[in-house]
Amino acid sequence: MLFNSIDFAFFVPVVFALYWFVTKRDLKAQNLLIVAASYVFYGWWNWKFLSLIVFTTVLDYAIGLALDKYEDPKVRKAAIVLSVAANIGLLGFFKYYDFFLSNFTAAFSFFGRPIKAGALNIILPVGISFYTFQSLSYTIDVYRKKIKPTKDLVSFAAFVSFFPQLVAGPIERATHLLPQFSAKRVFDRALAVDGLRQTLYGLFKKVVIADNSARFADLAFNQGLDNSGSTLLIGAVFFAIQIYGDFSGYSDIAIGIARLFGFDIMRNFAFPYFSRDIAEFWRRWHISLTSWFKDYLYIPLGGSRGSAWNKVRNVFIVFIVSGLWHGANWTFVAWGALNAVYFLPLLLLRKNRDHLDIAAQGRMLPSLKEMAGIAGTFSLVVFAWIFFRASSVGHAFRYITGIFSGSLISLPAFRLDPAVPGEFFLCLGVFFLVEWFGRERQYALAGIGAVRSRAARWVVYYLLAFAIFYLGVNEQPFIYFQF
Amino acid sequence: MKDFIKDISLFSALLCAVFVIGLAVPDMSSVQNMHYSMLDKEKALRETKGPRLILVGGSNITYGIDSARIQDDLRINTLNTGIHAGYGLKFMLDYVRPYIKPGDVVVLAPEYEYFFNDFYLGGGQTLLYAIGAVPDNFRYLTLSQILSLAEFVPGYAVGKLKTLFFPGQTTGELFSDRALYERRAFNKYGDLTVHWDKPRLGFSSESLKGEKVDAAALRTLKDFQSYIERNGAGLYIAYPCLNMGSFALSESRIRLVERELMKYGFKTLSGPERYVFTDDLFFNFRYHLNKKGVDIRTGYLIEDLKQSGI
Repeated sequence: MLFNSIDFAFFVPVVFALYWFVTKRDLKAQNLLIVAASYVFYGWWNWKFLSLIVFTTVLDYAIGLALDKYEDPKVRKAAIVLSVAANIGLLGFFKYYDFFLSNFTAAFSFFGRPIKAGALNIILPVGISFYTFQSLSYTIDVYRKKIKPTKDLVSFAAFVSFFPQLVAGPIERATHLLPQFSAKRVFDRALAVDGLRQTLYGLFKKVVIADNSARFADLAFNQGLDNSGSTLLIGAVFFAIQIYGDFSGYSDIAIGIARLFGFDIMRNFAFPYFSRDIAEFWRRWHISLTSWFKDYLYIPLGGSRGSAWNKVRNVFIVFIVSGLWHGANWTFVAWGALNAVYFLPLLLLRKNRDHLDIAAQGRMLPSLKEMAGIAGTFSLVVFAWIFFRASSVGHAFRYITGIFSGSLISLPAFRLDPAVPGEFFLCLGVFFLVEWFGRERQYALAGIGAVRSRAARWVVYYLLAFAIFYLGVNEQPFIYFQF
Repeated sequence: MKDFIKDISLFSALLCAVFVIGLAVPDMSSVQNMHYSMLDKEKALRETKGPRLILVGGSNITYGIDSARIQDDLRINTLNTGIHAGYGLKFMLDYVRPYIKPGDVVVLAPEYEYFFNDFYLGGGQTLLYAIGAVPDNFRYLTLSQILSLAEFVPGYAVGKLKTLFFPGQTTGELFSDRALYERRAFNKYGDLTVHWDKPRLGFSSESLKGEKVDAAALRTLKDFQSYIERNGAGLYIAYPCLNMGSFALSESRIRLVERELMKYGFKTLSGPERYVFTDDLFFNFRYHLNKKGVDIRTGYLIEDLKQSGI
């Protein structure tokens, strides 16, 4: 079930009504309802893959209990290895089996020893990378004794499958989300209204900004067309806008819907395109995944301690694994490696924590230095996105070569796509302004809640709603579902 | 909670009221959208003397035929009734049906999508515009089609309200090159010709989705064939034009359609590959030919019709 579908528009009010009116006096019943609703939400795509969620849930629940019961380090280690192996194994099989197989056969053929191995053409279950990482964070934290394991299977099942963030995050931590399933929830009107506001803004980002930007990006990345350098450059910029609108829009909807049910989900984006260097960008982009890799991979590898070689190795491992997490394709590996190359000089020169505040904090406009930093970082990010979006590494290189051809100084072929109306550009301009002036808040539109006049607030909501209905592209899936 | 529910209800009610007003107000565009061309096409079907060659299909027919050339070559009055593919196969057959006269030859070129996944019933948004332009079109809709319209009402209503403030723009789907989607883009035969002198635009190859040929689509077609033959007319199925990349991606499914059409005993003109062309012969979509493509396809169609004795 997509957030931007008519099915979801009916689904949420029904679950909301049952949750706050029928089960509100019974915490267990509320959690059970969340599990049932989440399974319906997930099963809407393919009910057969529900078995994978159930398997992950039951296994990690049992391992959590075992880790608590046994003090013997060998037994505890065996239990955590089992959890990691099962979760990563599941992910590896569904996501990477065909990729590694095709690369192995290609490698053997290259060395004159062709082998025959048939690809399984495995269908990737939606959201598997998200819920396996979330569940894994639980067993690792229990192993590290950061949290006590839960004895309540229903709460744990609700934590693993919580429908607002099940298929595309934010990837929650057990330390933050799991205790919320054990606490009594009281309806908070201000929280619910803020949740709806964030949901509406997230829908606008997805349906108006991302989906319309996608039309330009798709045409620019279409290999059958002989696009000019300027068109390719603008296409790459539109992809940067698309992926931000798409993914941060999804996160806004997830956080907003969770608030309707009394839950607080971690922030996933903090205005990354206003970052002044790459290190800041990675603190602001897909925060839940970046911090996951930091806590469960980078720091156990040694982090930024040790020799320069260790730092280089650790950064490359984390960024390449992060690239592979996005998909089984060399393009993602190249994207990860490129980001490592961007990040390393900052780390080695100890400049990776220069910008811990937001650009132009407390001021309306940035300084020239900040503007240069933002523009430079954005350019590097857009360049890396070319690898992320391209269908192959060769395609990415052809695309880059195309940008720097003689036709870079020419009018971009905006006429390429006849289906984008002029009003979209107006919305895009307003969107950038809203993001800039709202950058010190949790999400850009949060400030509207402080406006005293209800009429003024509602005018903004209606404008957003009309833009969604008028400029919306019907039920386009979210990019991050494929990961 | 009570206040929250009250606010949500009020907000939703006001939103719904705007949609209802949008549905109720007339379309104030000073330029009519392409869906109004149905009025011209129906008039031509009503008034053109028989026998006629009636071309039926989605936009592969709308964009891809030079009817004047067919009329001159075959010496038969030719009408292009091609409409937006989103109307669905059932709709386009139902709307031609009452105007069939003895001696007419109907050439139907259905897009391949019609044979999979219920697409023969068409898509919601386009059908709303079809009814907006010609309210009488409502009679061609089935209950499931009517229900599918609901989710498109808000966008449609807001679009119509916009014409109150910007009457110079057409309603219908949103396009920057609106000239392609206006009633006046068609010539007197019903061909869309406004793109003939425009440069080629981008499009991508796409594969057909679906595993099994939709039996309901085939039954709809068979029913139409029986009606045509009972009324002393003839039906030929021509394969639609398609770009090479899309054909390659979907060949197995297209062959499936071909086999089913033969099994059901339809008279077909050549095979699907006859109308598969290179990308440079297309305008902005895998089914939309440019002028060069129109010339080649029309030539092939004339040859095929002659071979079939027309």
